[in-house]
Amino acid sequence: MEDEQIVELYWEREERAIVETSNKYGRLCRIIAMSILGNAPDAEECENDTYLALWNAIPSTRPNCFSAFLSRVARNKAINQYKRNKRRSRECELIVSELEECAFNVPSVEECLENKEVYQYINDFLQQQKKDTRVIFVRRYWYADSIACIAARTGYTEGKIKTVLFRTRKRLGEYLVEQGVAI
Amino acid sequence: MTGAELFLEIGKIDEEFLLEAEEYSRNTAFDDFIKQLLPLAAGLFLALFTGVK
Repeated sequence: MEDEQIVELYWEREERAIVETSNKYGRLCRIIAMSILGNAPDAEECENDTYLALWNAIPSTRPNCFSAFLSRVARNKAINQYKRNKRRSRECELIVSELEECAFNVPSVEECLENKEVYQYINDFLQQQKKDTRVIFVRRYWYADSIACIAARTGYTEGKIKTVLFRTRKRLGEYLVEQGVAI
Repeated sequence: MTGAELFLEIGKIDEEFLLEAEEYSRNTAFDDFIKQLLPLAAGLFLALFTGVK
């Protein structure tokens, strides 16, 4: 079923919307949740929370891109669950610690940046990167994919992926500081 | 800013990047590589063709 038709089902308050969403995007939703949470029961709960959130959100919103909208909801739900969990996914802990090194020079969101949100700077930064680099960065830090998973997807070696990520993090940190995010 | 805050900020990036990263695979990489080679191949062909003539 096309995404527009699924969204229409939500607008019509048809419960089939959830079945169709699950058929088409259940796997994507579980992958995102699993990458962040690292355990299947939590990922399943997160998937169900995502469907409920879509059910509540869509009649007042018409997403431009349904899959991206769903992915974003799933990621947010997974992060909320991650914050509540005592035993956390090792992969996600690792990802956060990798980001630590390019974030430490950047002031907190409340302190920063004249009228521009940090994510807008990240958008600008990503726009300037080569496609391969951008995809590797987004797979790691948005989808929380493992290095092995990114290597399999892109066909590069794990060593190459680590190098690209290291250099991109370094450039991002420098870029955020250059853009007036004072130290 | 902490790594966790940056991770949250990255969560807000434009959806075009998500779609690009979702659709990207080895095949995409190969297609992109071929697309980059096409103008070169066309130029080479033209040079050879006009050279032969």
